[in-house]
Amino acid sequence: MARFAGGKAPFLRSVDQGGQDTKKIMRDFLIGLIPVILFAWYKNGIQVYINGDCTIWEMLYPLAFILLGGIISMLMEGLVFVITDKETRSLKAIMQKINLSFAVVPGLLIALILPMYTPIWVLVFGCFMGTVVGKMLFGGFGHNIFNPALVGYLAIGFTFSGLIGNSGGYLNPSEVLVDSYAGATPLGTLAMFKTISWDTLVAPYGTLWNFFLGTIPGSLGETSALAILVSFIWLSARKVIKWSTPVIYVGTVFILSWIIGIASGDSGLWFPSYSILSGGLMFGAVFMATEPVTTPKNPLGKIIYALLLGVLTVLFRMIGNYPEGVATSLIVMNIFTIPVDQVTAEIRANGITKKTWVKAAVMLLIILGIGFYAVTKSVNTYTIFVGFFGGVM
Amino acid sequence: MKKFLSKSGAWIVMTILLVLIFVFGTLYSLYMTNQISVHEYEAYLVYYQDASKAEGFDTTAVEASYQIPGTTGDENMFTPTLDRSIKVYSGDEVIGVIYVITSHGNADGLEILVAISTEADSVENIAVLSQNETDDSNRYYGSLTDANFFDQFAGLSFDTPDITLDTVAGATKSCEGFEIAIEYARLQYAADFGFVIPEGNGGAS
Repeated sequence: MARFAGGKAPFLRSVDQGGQDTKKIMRDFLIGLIPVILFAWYKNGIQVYINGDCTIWEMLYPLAFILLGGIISMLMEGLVFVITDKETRSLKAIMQKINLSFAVVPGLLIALILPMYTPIWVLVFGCFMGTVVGKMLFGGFGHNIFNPALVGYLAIGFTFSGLIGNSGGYLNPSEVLVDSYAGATPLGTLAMFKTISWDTLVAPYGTLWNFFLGTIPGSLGETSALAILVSFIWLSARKVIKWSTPVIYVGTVFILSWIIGIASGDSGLWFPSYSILSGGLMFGAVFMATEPVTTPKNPLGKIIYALLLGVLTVLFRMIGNYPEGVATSLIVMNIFTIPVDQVTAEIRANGITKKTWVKAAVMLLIILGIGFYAVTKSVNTYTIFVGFFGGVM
Repeated sequence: MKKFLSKSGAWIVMTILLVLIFVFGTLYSLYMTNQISVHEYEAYLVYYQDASKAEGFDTTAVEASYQIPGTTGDENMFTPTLDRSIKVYSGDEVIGVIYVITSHGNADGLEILVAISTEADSVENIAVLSQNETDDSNRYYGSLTDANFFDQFAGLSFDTPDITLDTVAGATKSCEGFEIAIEYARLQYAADFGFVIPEGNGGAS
């Protein structure tokens, strides 16, 4: 039991990292982000420039935007160190601390899940909310309850939704320079037409192969399942992340979407495939659901966490007012990380007892209650699902 | 000074860097936002040879209503809508004007781009941007491409009393929708550029 934080910060201890030092994990994590960053740059900058459709400054913008996210996040964290710690005044001391605290990561992730035309001052705001409010105010790396990148992302979404809309869609960019990338994202289309139909959901973007490659509208880093898959293999091989969490999370969304498709009269595998290849699911599953601080530490906890993430993502996507459900699900599940960790740790240590049953049942009820609330209170309930969900509940 | 810099240099540098990123980043973003509209108008250059620039402009209000194709009676009149108006330049000289008009064919929502040559007072080109017509591959609206229906627009002169198109059997209502859009574009062109329409006005009321 000693290895589990037990509800008290820090939530990450060296033993949780498999003996790897933070520097090495951070280096491998950043290497893991390279395929996603390069694809985002190629799709939104290089390819358009090669076609002669933009200037060199426009070509450089996606890369500059992503890298600036990391730099801003790092600078803000450095400033907090200076303000809060008298011993950390020299550049060398600041850099030492920054190197140990994944300072660059929240900003990079925020930039990757934003629309390309998001103004940089909005990115600065997102990095402030993510790094300073979501991370440093909780005590810094290892003490934060919520994923800092998600805090920044949701703060932008809630505060600047109109402005983001004018930048190319509410967290749904339209990279206007390439026709096939323009317009609503696949999940935006699902939210708009509220129908499960290949002609409506997939055909406007070509085939599901385009979804896999990433040549569809979407945030900078979220569209290419292929690039994310490469990152996933690297991060798993380097043991930076546990491979099972993304697989179970994505698998749960796949199966539930398939069931919903069948309930709506279409048993084809295209709809579950569409569901897992759309929006930020793949990105969230690989880079956020595996975050070491805000997710459960023990294997059973990780499995339960990933399963519940899948359930909530499908619920929020199908029923919620916004097209996407990954960020909200992750934030909700961040709240339950400690209880999930505690209950599953007890199960591992003592086996399934009456006490653990009660705790698990209460926790499950709360989580499902949130889902139920989302279903019943939503003003955007999909008419085709009413019968299905009505029957289930 | 040295003591001050060793104590406060790091945070001063970091603050300055953040302010610079904020200011120049915002300018960079403004440039990018402006480029969106620049590229949007660039898409209209393809309809003209030697076109170098395109920009939107304010039009003079025109009111005209037409009979919905295939119907009779005053209750079945409709007014086309002008969705966009763009001037196209070669250097500093206006060589064309583009109107995007939503007409009514067999169904509502027949959105047609009419590119007009201001030098020849004629249609330079047209393009269908969206439509809700009955679109079987070889029948109805779908038959227009096979029948080379679209070939008749390039060079279609405005300097004629009535604009009549060669219609295609099976797609008559769609053809009439195109005819109405061209007529409406001519009316708008006349209002905006002082073009005098010869006597007779193609069924507008």
